[in-house]
Amino acid sequence: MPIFENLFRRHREKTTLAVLALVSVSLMLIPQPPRFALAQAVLNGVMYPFYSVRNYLDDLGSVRRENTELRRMVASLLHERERLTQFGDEHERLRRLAEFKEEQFLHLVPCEVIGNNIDRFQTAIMIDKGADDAIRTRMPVLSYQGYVGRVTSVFKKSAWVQLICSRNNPVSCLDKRSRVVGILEWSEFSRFELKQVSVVDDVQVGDTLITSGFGGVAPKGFPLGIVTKVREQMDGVSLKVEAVSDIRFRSLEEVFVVKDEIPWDRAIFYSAQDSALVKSVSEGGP
Amino acid sequence: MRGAGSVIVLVVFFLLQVLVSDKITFRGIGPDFPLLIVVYFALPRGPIRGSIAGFVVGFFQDLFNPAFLGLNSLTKSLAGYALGRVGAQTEGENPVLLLGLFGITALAHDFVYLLVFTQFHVVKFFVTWVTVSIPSAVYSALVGTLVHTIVMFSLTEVVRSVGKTRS
Repeated sequence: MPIFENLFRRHREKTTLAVLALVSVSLMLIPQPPRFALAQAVLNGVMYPFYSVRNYLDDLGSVRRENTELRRMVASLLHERERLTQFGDEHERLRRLAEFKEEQFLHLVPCEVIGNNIDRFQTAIMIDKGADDAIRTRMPVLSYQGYVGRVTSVFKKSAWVQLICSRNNPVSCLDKRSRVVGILEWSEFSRFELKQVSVVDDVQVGDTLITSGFGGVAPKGFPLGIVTKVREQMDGVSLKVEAVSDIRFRSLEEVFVVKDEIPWDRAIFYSAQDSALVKSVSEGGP
Repeated sequence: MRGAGSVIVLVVFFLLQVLVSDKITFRGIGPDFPLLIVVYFALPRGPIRGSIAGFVVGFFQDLFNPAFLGLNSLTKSLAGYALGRVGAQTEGENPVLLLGLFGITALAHDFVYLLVFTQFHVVKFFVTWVTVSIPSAVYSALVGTLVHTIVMFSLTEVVRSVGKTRS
């Protein structure tokens, strides 16, 4: 130690340089893997504050860009919504002129499937809404893919829904393309048969079948299935039409009971919270 | 004023290195701003501070190229030490002197650096030193002197205008 003290006192400049040179050479002599690891560790430590600030600023920039983009989108959607509302009004006026029934919105009650009947082929499901939620028998039930059935029995907090894949639950339907009316009856699995279609009717493979609204149970226009096979019956006057449904009846988890219909002018597009947000965005708020 | 000018020049060198160094480098020939920082720092502050500054700047440079960790530390420590000694005997504010010091230091720095970098391969060393180091040294000297002159001139003008306003 006295040697170093002496060196530093008498040859401070040269000793400092020698120490620095020694450290530098030692760094050069470190084997490559630990040298890289050391450099990376020091660099991370030294640069961490700068990287943090840079990342923060980058994030800030991207959030601003995103916010600007979202504002633009909201403005565009508001404009589009306004136009659609006007189209809706115009459509309604034209329908009135043509003496059609007023177009309605459906008041849907979302329900969870809480049970199903223990049958080889499921024909009914139990939902978690009942009389307490104003559910009544014969109310139609929809899934995301289309019409699934109707409420058959109602309890206080649950209800049974008979699915269309039941022998005793035929549905009146329309060929979406040709507007031919028929009765859709379940045959097996997700396959159905379209009945009461004559040989002169225009039904083709690939046509979509939708609910006709006849009978007043199922609302009009909801998909039921796709025609997969069309051939003439033995009697020579009717067609045997087979269709298949996209709905996976055995794995339904959520369905919607159609409680009632709401006229156009009383339909609610946005909740109060949505309306406040839209107002804030349109006024350029935070 | 000299101290403030010196700090401003160092900051300008640093900003130039960070912001425009890549853009003003052509085929590997560009100003060596870290070396200019060491030279400018060491000149008025002596060999001890100069060599330590050289080591720190070189080490920081080496962190980005760990294959030669320690090489820049060594060469810039030597440069800082040498300039610290030279600065004690000269008037560092003279632009012509600065031009010469920047150029000679850059050449000497690259000489030592390339010897180790090329692992004492004489041909590679000589070719690189002639084709890259000499033009880079000239480039560095010119840019360094220009920055120093502009900063000092601007600072003088600012001080002069402030003095006039007060009087």
